Amino acid sequence: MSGTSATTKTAEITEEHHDEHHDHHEQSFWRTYIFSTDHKIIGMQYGFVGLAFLFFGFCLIATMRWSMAYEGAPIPFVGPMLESLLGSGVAPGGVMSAQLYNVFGAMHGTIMVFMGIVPAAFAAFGNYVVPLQIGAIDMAFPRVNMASFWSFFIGCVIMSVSFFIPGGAAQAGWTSYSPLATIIPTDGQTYWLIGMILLITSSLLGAVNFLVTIINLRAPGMTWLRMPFFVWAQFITAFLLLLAFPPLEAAGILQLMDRVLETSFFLPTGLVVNGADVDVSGGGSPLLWQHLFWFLAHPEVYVLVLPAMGIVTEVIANNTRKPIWGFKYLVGSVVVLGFLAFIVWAHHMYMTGMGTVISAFFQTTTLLISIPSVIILTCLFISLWGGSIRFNTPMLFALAFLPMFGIGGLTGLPLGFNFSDVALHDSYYVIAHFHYVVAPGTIFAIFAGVYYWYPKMTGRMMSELWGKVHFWSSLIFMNLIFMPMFAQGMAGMSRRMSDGGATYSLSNPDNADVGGALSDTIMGLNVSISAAAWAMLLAQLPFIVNLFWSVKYGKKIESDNPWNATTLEWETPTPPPHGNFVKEIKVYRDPYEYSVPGAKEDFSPQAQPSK
Amino acid sequence: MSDSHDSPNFIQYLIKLFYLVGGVLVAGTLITVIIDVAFKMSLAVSAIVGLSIALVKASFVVAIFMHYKWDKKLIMITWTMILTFIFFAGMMGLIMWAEGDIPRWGREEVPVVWPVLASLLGLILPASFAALTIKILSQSAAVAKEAAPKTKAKRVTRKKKKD
Amino acid sequence: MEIPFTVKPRPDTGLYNGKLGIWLFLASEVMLFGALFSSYVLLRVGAADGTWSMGLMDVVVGAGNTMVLIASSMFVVLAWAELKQGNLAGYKKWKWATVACAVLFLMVKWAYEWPSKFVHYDVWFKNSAVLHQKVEEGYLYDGKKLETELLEEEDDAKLSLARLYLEKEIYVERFFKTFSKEDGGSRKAFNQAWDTGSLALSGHINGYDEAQINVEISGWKSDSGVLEANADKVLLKLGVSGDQGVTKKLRNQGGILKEMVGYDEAKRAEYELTKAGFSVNLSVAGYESVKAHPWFWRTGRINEDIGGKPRVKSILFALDESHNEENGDHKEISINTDDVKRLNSYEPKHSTFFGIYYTITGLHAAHVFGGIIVMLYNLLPIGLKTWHRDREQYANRIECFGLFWHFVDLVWIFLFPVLYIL
Ligand code: HEM
Ligand SMILES: [Cu+2]
Repeated sequence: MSGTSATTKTAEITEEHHDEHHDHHEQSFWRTYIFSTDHKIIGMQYGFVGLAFLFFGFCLIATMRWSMAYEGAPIPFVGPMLESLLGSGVAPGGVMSAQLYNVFGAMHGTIMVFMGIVPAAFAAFGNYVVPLQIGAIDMAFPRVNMASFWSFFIGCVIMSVSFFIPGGAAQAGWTSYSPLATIIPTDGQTYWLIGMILLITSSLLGAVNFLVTIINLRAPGMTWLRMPFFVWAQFITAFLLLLAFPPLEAAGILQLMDRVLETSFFLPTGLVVNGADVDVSGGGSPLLWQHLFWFLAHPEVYVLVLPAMGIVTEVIANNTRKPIWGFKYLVGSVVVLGFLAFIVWAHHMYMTGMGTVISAFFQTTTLLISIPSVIILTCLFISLWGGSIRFNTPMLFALAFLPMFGIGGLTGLPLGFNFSDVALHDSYYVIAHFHYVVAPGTIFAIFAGVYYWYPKMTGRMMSELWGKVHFWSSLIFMNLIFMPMFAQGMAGMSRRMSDGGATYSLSNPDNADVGGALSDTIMGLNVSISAAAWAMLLAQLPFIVNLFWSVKYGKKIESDNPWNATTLEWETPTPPPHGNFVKEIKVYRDPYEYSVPGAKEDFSPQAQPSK
Repeated sequence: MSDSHDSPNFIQYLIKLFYLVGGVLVAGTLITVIIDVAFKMSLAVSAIVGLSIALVKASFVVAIFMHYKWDKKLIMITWTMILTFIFFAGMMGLIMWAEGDIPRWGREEVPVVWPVLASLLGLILPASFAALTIKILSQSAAVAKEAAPKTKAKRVTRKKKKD
Repeated sequence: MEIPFTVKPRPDTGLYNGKLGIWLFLASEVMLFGALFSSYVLLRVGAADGTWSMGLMDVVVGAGNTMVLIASSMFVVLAWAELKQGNLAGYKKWKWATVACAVLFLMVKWAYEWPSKFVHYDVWFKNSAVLHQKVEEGYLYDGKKLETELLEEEDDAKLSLARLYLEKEIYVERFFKTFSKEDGGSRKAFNQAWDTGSLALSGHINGYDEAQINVEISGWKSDSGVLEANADKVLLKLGVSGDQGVTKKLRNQGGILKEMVGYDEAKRAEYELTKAGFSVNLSVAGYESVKAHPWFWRTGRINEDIGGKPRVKSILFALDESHNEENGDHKEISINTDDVKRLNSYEPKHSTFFGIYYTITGLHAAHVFGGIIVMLYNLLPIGLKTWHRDREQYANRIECFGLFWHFVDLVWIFLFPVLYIL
């Protein structure tokens, strides 16, 4: 086709014809399941990869815990595998070297945050559920959506491959502070940066897509305040990603320049490494990296929890059979939360010495931001009041989220005050704090979401019994892992130590007269924590088996709306076809109209006309 | 731009504007160079002059070339973004100053006025986003009445702005 | 199945999907370039005096390129206006003009601006005495002229003329722009740099004395896992002539294999010989003058140790702004590499300024390049299909592209003063 005006007429006709056919075309396996543009398939792809990486990241830490508990002892089963896979340089005789510990530690953080939770909580549920909940037939830009997934996937591949290059993956922690990250001679950090740039690109494309979808593709009648809270949470999350990620992308590019083209953006003048001057021009600023990094990384923690809050709200509303208390406060809080998230980042940098005035400023904003979080949690707690609660598996996880997230949040306050942070900074207290937010917090919410939406995706329920086994064991072990870490941290144990602090402990003869060295009790906790972590690993087996087994053998659901829920995703056939809705969708109600007085049933779907 | 601006006359008017803006941009560039060559200024002054000219040029590009002038609906997005950015850049500079990372400026306790200003900005930031939300929330769900004449939709938004 | 509002704007939000999407994307781009700009500012104000090699940029070229981008930005919006009037031919005309501008912009960068910097060097000396001596040598070739030019206004006759010239004409402009109004600050900074010897001299490397290397083998390890025959083959390949006896003798007793060869050849021989199990010695037998303009040289390269001697003994350095009266060339001085602390062409590693200059302009150029690809796609029959199917959709697509393109222009509007002028 030449495209000149002479052929326009005929071209127009054939084009139209052709296009109509195209839409109803039977698509190949590859187009349907792999290079799909359907938001549901992409959502499931994200979910699958995300969950896999969550598990992988967990395995990394489970291995590291051995080194912390029994430093210098060969790791049973896994040790020989590591030695043959990664070489005896890093795992001699199946013992984890400190270098390998650093690799695993840095990659645990990176994988969990950027390749686990973000794809699973934000991208997977967001892709699958958001268009359904707002009554759209797909995302606004399906092909951009696919590009986003594949960019993410390639980023993951690069990160994973970096384990096997000489010297292993990145070692400078997930925060990758320069100059350390710049001058480490192995190539892992370079891979990390390239991988991150791809992951960031993916998130940006995804964020644009979510925002446009939510703003422009809402079904008729779906006003802003009729949007379920989950959609609101995703909306704000997308804004956070959109505005916070680019500075890290810039930082990544700068650090990449530092590593590859030997610039010195983050290297100060007069840098001496191993007693020798480094041949760089100098004049850079290590602090600059920290700013660019934390400007992303604080909003990032809200990226990790907001979708979780959204999921939990959906599940709680559904299983208490009553509207969410203070829905408007929830929405208001999440909006304010989103934007306060941009003005607190320097609370991670109190120890860089920014003086009292600025510390006071960031301390204030940090404490301000706890207010909306508390409002959200309170609204959810009050929502439980007087409900006839159904204690099914998703609800159990959602309920557990509330106190667990509460612990995580409250223990954050001492970190927000700069005077107490001086003592707690970089200790196991910090590890315990943010893990309470993300592990029994966000991860439980992800579990809740999986159990809750599973019937919509597959048409079958997951096993309740094994779900409950999974829940109770996870809950117990989770707390056994992280609660003692508070004690360790307050006793002064630093994070990122491959020997679990043995060098600093009292039992080390060198430390006989060192005040504040770690006592045997504190050191002993290392063993119990590690044991709990391995038990936690076992506790995930029921879930994994359940997840796959139920696809085939789970209990078939009788209706398209097995939970008797009100939101739009349950108006679709099960599983939803390409295009989602078979009937015209119009919205007449608020999202959580449960137990409306005078209604026939205890739930009134949003699409049900109100007379 | 919205459909009411699609009339041929309006396009002709736009084209004239485009040429005009092109001229302004070229002139701005020339002025920048000439000022640089002709006057010796301290860095601070030339930064202010140079960046102001750039800002004027940028405003023309955004307003006319990018038809922002006719796309007022975008204002809250851009507004919050600009605020976020200013806050980020300003605060980052302030902290690096306070931390002594800018040796030229010494390392003093930062005057309280700066954090106070920052707080103001920090308040405007969530406030303006909240305003955005409220504005969004108060939009009628016009999709249902999609067929409504477009001029009417416009009038409705205008009215809202007044009260 | 059609996704709604891909073409017509949604009434209540007033935007169609594409436009909303591109604006949001631009918001993230603003944060990206914004972060880079703020990094620039902070690195700059944090830089020690005399390390920000700013004045080395060619303002005229920069301004010219700015005009080119402005023109392209105007063309792209005119193209859109033609489309809105249904005039495909007019659209194509403007669009090709845009592509031409974009290509021109990149050409200036790729073929002229960047490469011309890679052959330009700064040299820092190990001690100030050498610096002072080289300055005198390089800039005091025409004492009379300097005297009349400078001494009128300068009464401090104790200062050397060459130094004065350096300070007033070259360095203060280049490195010592300060934030204060009087140039007292920059004067102080220059004096300090002069005294400590931390100044760099700029210029071209016109030639150098490069090592002529002897390659000697001192024996062959029979346990190296290489067959004798193969080791001999390597010897033959490296130019040993003769029968088996010769190679065998070489193998057993060692000896000089190559005499007075260039660096590359010597290194290659060393590599192959080592692989074949020989112990190899490289030694410098002498130096040969080479007339050439090397690219991308750094300290490590000139100082590379070959049997205790440097690879390059001295360089012939044509100083910037030091015109020879007779033939108009730049004045050449010879610099011993022993005295050189650091040598670097104007590549990213040179200094933080060049680092960020290449980073930002490179990222910007990547955007321009991406834009060219999209424009070409839209101009080719495959892209024009959309026009024949739905004119409004195509016009929208061009409008969205235009928004992106204007943004790229916008970035440059700020880059130009920041990188070339301030
Ligand atoms: C239940 C499973 C988990 C366990 C047992 C666990 C355990 C740990 C431990 C012990 C450390 C400290 C390592 C050290 O300082 O040497 C750590 C670091 C970290 N974890 Fe986890 N974690 C878990 C899940 C998660 C999740 C879900 C996230 C998601 C955000 C996460 C993010 C991080 C990060 C960002 C670090 C810091 C890494 C660094 O020091 O650079 N973890 N984890
Ligand atoms: Cu934070």
